[in-house]
Order: sequence, then C-alpha cells, then structure tokens
Amino acid sequence: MIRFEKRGAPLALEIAAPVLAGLAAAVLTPATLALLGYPARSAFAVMASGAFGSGAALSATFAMAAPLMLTGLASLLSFSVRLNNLGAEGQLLGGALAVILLGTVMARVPAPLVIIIATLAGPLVGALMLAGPVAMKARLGTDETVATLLLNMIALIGIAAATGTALAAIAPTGAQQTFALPAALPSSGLGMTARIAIGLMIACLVCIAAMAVTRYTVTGFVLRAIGGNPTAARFAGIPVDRIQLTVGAVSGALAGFAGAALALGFIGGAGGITAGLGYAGIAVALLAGRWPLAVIPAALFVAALITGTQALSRAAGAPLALADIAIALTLLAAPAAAALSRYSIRIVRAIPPAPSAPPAGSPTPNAT
Amino acid sequence: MSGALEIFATAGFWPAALIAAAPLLLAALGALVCGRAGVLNLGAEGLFIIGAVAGYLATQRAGTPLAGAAAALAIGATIGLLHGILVSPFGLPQATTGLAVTLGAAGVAQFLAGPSVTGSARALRVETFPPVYLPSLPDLARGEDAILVARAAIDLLRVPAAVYLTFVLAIVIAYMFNRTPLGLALRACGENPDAVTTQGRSVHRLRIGADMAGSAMIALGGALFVLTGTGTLSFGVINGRGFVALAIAVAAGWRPGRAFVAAIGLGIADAYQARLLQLASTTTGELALLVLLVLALLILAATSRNVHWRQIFGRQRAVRRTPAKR
Repeated sequence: MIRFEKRGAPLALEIAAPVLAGLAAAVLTPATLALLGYPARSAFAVMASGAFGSGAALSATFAMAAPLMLTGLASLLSFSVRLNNLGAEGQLLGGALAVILLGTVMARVPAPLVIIIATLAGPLVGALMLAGPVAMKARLGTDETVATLLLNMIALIGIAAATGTALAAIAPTGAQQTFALPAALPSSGLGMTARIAIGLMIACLVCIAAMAVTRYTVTGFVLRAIGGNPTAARFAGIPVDRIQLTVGAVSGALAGFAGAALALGFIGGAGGITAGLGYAGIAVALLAGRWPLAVIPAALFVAALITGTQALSRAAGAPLALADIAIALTLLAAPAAAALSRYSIRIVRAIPPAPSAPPAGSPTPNAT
Repeated sequence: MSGALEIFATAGFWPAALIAAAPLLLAALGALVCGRAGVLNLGAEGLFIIGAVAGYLATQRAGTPLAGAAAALAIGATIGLLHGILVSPFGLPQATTGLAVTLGAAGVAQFLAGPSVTGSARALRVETFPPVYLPSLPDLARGEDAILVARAAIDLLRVPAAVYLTFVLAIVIAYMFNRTPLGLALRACGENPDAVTTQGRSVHRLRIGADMAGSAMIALGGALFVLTGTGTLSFGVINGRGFVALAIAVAAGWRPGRAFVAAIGLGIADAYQARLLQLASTTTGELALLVLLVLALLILAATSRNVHWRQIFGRQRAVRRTPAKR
C-alpha cells in the first residue's frame, strides 16, 4: 500500500520542484502541438535554437526577460501578502497607455522632460490600477481577482483604441502583438543591445532589492507574517489592510513601470509593448515560489519558453497562440509540482489491524 | 438627445437586447453553479471562446446549430472535468488554475479556428437558431396605440427559442438551489464543506460535477453568442465576454435571479450601444466590450457588500484539511 504523507518540503525539493515544472511545461507544449495535429518533429531542437540558437534569438529572449522579471516580481509581491492579483497585464498596459497619451499630449515639450514625467506616470497609473481594487477589497469586500481581470481587459481596449490596432483581447503571448507608438514620442536613441542590457540591469537590481527587503528587514518580516497567516497577523496588531494596500501599490507600480519603460523604448529589444507579459509574469511568480531573487532565473526560463515556442509554431506553421498554451501549462505545472513536493510517498507493508471497538464512554481518538 | 432615446423604440431593439443578454446569462449561470459549489471558475473567458469556436465549427460541418450546441456542451464539460479535478481533489490554487484554463482554452480555440483567423470576422455565416414564428397583427383602423403596444410586445417575443430556454434555465437553477436536496448539498459545498462530509457525501465529487455542468453552460453560452447572433466568428467581439459573465455571477451574489437582472441590463446596454454605433456609422465592437466591462466593474463594486463571498471561498481549506482516514 502506498501512502502520501504531508510534510514540509525539504529545501532541495523546493528548488527542484519548479525546475521540474518548467521542464514539464517545455515537454508538454510540443506534445500539445502534436495533439492538435501539427508536425512537432525535432521540436526541442527547434525550441532551443529559437530561444538560444543565434544572436537574434538570444537577444529576443533577454529582451523579453527584463519586463517579465518586473511583472513576475509584481505578481510575487502581491501573492506574498495574499492578494490574488491577476492584473499585472492590465497594470503594464496601463503604464504604457499613460506614456502613449502623455507623448501625444506633450508633443511640444522638450524630450528629456517628457521622458521623466512619463517614467513617473507609468508606475503611478499601475499603482492606482491595483490600489483601487485592493482598497475596494478592504472597504467593500469586493473580490480583487475578478476586478483586476476586468481592468486587464479595459486597459487592453484602451491601448488598442489609443494606438489604432485591432483588438485581440487575449492576444497571443509574445512579440507578435507589437503596438505602434506615436512618432511624437522621443525615442531614446539607444541601440538594441544597450536597451536589453539596461532592462536586465534595472530588473535584476529591483529583484535583488526586493529580496533584501523581504529577507532582512522588519518590513519583510511583517510581509511574511501576513503571508503566513493574515488573521494571526491582524491579532498581532499588524495593520493588514494598510500593508496590503501599500504592497499592492508597489506591485502595480512595478508592472506599470515595465509598461512605461517598454513604451519609452529604454528596455526591451525591438521597442513597443508586447501583450501577454503580465500573464506570463504570473507564471514567473509561481515558478519563483517565495523568493524574489528566484524571479530572475524564472523570468529567463519563461522568456526562453516563449521565444522557443514562437519559433516552434512558426516552424510548424501553427498559430502563435501556442505560447499561450505554454504559459497555461506552466501555470498548472508550477503549483502542482510545489504541492507534490510537500508530500512524501511511503510504502506501507503491513495492513493496519482493524481498530478494536473502544470501551464505552471513552473519547474516540481522531474524531473527524 | 431625442435620437438617443428613440433607439429604444426602433424595430428590433428589444429582441436584440434579449439576444445579447442570453449568452451572458447562460455563461453567468454556469459560473454561478461553479461558484455556489465553491469553485471560482476563472476559466470562464476561455470556455466562452472555445464554446463559440466549437459551436461555429460544428454547425459548419453538420449544417444544424443543434450540433454546434452539442459540441460546445461536450467540450465545456470536458474542460470542466479537468479543471474540477485539478482544483478540488488536487487542491491547486483556483485563481491561477482558472487563468491557465482561460489562456489554454483560448489558445486551443485559435488552433481550432485555423491559422488564418486573426481577430477579423470570419465572413462565412453558419446557420443560426431561427426566431420563433409569431403571426403579425392585422392592420386595424381603430385603437392604434393599443396595436402599437401589442406589436412591440410581439416584436419583443420574436427571438430564438434558445433565448427563452436560457431564461427558463435561470428559474430551474434557482429552484434547484433553493428547493432540492442536490441544491442544498451544492450550496453546502461552497459554504460549509465539512457539513457535506458529515452527511457522507463527497465534496470533491459534487464540486467536479458542478464544475462540469457550469463549464458546459459557459461554453454553450459562447456557442449561443454565435448561433443566436450573427452566425459569424469574430474573436474581437467574443473576447472579454466570459469575464463579463463571471463578473455578473460575482456581482449577483451567486443568485440566479439577480444574475438575470444584471444580464438583461447588460444586454440592453450592449444592444443600445450597437445601435448608437450604427448611427455613428462606425462598426467596431470595442466600445461594446468597454461599456460591458465598465458596467460589470461598477456592478461588482456597488454590490460587493451583499456578496457572501468569504462565506463561500473562505472555507476552502476545510476540505483540504479533511484527511482520508479509514
């Protein structure tokens, strides 16, 4: 007889679980492609070369990794204080939308000023787009999950209207959906490599800072207390609602910053905003688990998964929506692996003897 | 200004509103069945999309909209079974699992629809459910106002039978939840799973069943959107409606009657702005969706005090804690 027993996951297993989950997603994606009736011959080679095979492939992967780190960290922070925030997508697009609108309005303002204002406005819009639902949750009891999902769609429609692109609400994840920016926007005149490097540098620094705060400060302890047990934290005198609001604002600001930076073109490779980075960021957060630092490798992996999958679907002549399926598989595999790592499998030899009837009047053990 | 109000009196406005409301109501009822049993079905968006695609394609192949409805039901139930198993016995987090269903199903829908569909309307119309036949009134000289009113009433009723069935379904589901043992057990699954276990029923089985039924209804809602509407497939118009339906279910406090009212209201808003756009001679579906989304968000915010959300979803852990002891 095989028994599953719950226990805390050992550290090694806690690290191995997301790795295995990522591998599972990478294996199941071409399997799904084959299942849908497309040729998936030598799929892994195609995926690998699409993600790492050439200079262009590598730069596409790294360019996508930077915004993914930001949205991933944003999602991770809100998950860490028990906010079911699925709105990183909308906050990113909202930040980008703010930049696009500002760029159009301030066509005559000197470019450096526009860049500064826009860089501040993007995070502000992102922060408001999450602080709103969180405040509504605290004051009215509104469900923040559905509210953030609706805001995603609203932001997407806004950006489609502002840029005049056709609306594809759940657009395929990845580069395909690149929105054109108004010509009035000051291009920062950076080379592709510089953009990628700057993006990665900013994103990694933010992740390291987040790790430092959550690990080594009192604030971090408070966050972990709320994440561990909000009710207990409330009884311990921690203002849970207020801290959730603050973390929500920071999380939204991170996603909004990613959107603004993408729209301004000082991170990301080819420039322009890409759809699906927020949803992919949730997958990043699930892979990273409880460590902000782990967002960096997780984002690199998810970026490689997306670019690899895009190469695969191009090679097979399949829709680019395959990347969405890859993200969906990651979203399933990561928590599944984490849950499995919390169980140990024990093989029990002897069949336990039938419990003898307890003497009358004695309390029954293990009453459930 | 008067033109804006006259839209309400134009021929075919009220049938259009009912036809717009029915898919939303059906999908909201599906989300509601899941929600009452304690499953927050964030896969609604993907289910709605794949239901629409499956309904369109099956109708195209078989030539009858009934086949489309059946295909949507089957695919919805299958996805619901998978989602239910993942969420209930395996206890995966509901929010991200639902999002995975939405992304995955919407992705597969793109594959089913074919690589050529890129958000533009598919020109080829499939056969749709015809409106029920009603005789028109004879022209009488006298009592013109009464005849106008009667005509408007008959006009209102001239919608496909599937629309009526959806409204009847709302009543059936309300009856099921409030008056039958099954409904009580399902509600207990959401509000107090331990009570269900104590009764000797399986919470997991009930939740999976509710998830299958609810997901099938959401997918059927997507199919109805195509098969009672234009009969064409356009992702640009379909996208987002699953989330709107979910928001209706949440805002209605998981009550069928309130979901009915909300869906009719959104249907009217949808038909109204469609007419308004016709007047402005722009043919974009984006404004439709924006109006629906903002309205849904407002309803959600305005009604959240009444929603016993935490009662339903605050008790998730009770199930996971229940050990499988012999």
